[in-house]
Amino acid sequence: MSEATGRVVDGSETYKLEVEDLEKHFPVNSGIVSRILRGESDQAVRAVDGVSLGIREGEAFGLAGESGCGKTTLGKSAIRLLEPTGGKIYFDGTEITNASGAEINRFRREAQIIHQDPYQSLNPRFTVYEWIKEPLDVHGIGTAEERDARVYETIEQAGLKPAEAYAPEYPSELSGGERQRVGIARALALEPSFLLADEPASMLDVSIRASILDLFKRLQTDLGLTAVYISHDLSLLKHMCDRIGIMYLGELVEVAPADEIINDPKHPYTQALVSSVPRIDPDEDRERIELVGEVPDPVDMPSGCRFHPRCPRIVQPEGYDFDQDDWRAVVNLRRDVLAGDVDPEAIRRNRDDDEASALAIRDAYDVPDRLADAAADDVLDAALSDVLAGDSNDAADVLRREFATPCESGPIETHQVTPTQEAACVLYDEDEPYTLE
Amino acid sequence: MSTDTDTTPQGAVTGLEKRIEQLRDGLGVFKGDRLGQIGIALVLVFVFVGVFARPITIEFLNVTIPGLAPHDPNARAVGGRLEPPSLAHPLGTTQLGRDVLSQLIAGTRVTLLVGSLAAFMAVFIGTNVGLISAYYGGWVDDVLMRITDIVYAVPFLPFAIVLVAIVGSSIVNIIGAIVLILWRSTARVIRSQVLSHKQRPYVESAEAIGASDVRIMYKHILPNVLPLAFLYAAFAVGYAVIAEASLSFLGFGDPNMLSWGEMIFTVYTADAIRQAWWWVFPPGIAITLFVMSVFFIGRTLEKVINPELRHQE
Repeated sequence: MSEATGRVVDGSETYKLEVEDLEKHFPVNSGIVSRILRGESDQAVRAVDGVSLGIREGEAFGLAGESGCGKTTLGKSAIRLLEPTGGKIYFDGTEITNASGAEINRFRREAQIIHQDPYQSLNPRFTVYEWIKEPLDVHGIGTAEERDARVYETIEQAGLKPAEAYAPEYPSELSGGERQRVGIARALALEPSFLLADEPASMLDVSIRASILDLFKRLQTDLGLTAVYISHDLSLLKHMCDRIGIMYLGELVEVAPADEIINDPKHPYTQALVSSVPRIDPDEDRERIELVGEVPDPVDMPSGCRFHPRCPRIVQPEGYDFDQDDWRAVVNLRRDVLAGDVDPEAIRRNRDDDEASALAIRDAYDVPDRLADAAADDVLDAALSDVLAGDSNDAADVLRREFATPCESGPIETHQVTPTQEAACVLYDEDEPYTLE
Repeated sequence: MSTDTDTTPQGAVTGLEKRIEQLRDGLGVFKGDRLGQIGIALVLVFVFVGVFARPITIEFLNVTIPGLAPHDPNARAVGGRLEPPSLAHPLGTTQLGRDVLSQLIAGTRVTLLVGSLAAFMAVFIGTNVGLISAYYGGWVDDVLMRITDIVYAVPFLPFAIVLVAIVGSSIVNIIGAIVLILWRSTARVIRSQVLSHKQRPYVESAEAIGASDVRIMYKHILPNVLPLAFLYAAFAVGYAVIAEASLSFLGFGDPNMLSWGEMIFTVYTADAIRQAWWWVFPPGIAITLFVMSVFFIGRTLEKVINPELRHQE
């Protein structure tokens, strides 16, 4: 594979691993009984939904995002440990999306994975020696003596010394850190050129974490590996990676060099994520962005930008001028009206009022009694009267039409914000500039 | 895996030692378990008796090891008809004057043969079906498990009687009938275990290095579910022996192979079951003892699979 030069994109960049519109959907209700009872279900958990990404030769790339955002699924689909349901994968310029037989075997030699849980990822019935030797056996590399020597060499490379003492041990006799090193040794045995590390340190004791991460750094420089680190820990990724990609609900929302992600995040979600990282300096003045609501159900995704139901910087409707916090509150109220979820009677009971009122509803959603923009206030007032009169459909129609935001409709394009930084957010759409403040 | 055998890598040797150590640890569950020890002792006695029941001639060395049975079990009139126990015939004689003790000793062989062969084959089939079914899933799983369901619906005795009636009653056919029914429970249990193991990261770790399906199934998952297969093999031995005895008692046994069930069948057909207690009890007790000892061993082995049982004492 050494002669391959990578796929040339725009005549300038070569990628080690590249995915195009990668999709991994897990079907829901695929059991035979529910299929018969409810008919073929087209519902799916969209764990990874159209991600395009290029990992450059020799770089350390970090994938971050909260739990369940699909970062592990993306990583595993990209190296074909999970079969993607759509999109294309290129490795060293060769398409491997549907590779099989000898082709996928060659790829397996080049791309290896380090698992998150060192307690589960080693087979309890294999000794360290057998576990590390297995990849060499599978690919029939070298003679028996060469394999033997290679096993001891990789054990030491992974920082387990003396190798002879560790070779005959079973995983049950090793500590978590030692097991993780065994996992690393197994991945290195084949001398791969690409490494996927799935939360490699998250299950380890803090005291061992640093040494494992240092090992990764050293190996990456020594062996010239291209590596992808998956983690929810931004400070760890900043320490380890050249570039970081942020995922939210199966989509890549921002990709940028590590420093820029941390110091100058562009996408509102990244901004919220970065602001949540604890800082050591107590004097540092920093605004903490609190997100409202919960992560939506990945089966029933919001339209448009997936982050818009929680986004503090959601774009305001044309022709109105809200205070941004008020606008966020109005959007929450509007969402519930559209879903028919606003029940004035329940709000009255909760507040122990004598009568259901528009003010009570506003208060329940943190919308001020009067909006700064009189025109907007009139629209809201009319809608709330409809709700109180039991005419939710009319209310929904008015709010849907008047308070439409570009965030909730259509596909969201990824924009090149700076030469190195790209974000999937309408705020950076140059053709239709939206006021940021 | 490797083709050369003259160079033994260092790790492989120590790996073997480790393995023996692990086996010793596994046998440790018998320590302090009286019933398990009794089971092992009894089975060893049965095996000894079964192996040395009849004279063994080693032509190569030109020696003959004398059999344990004092008489030829099939020779008629070695004593009188229906003689009660005496010094010459410790367990009396049969209606045709055959020595009951000799018959009992000779019958051990058939019991061991049927028990071990049928259990091994049933567990072999069951383990493979369970492994393949769970590993591949999808339609393979559907097909194999529906077949298992069908086998579950077949009652053993009527099935075995019909089968033996059609293909003839030989020891091979009897073992075949037992195996055809007995594999189902192993298949189910192994499948459920494999389903759980398939999801563990070590399997993904094997996929990541490019290991083949066969390798993942038999080198990675199988060793982890094998203790369960052993447990089911122990129980299967007991079931197989009972099944063979039942078939023989009903008169479907191999007429050329003397088994304990067949002995009881002969007593029954000779109409001597009420008077010749020395002829009825020995095979009955032998069946009970053997099955019991196998179950004791199985019960102890269960602690290897389910360590929680160790704390419940």
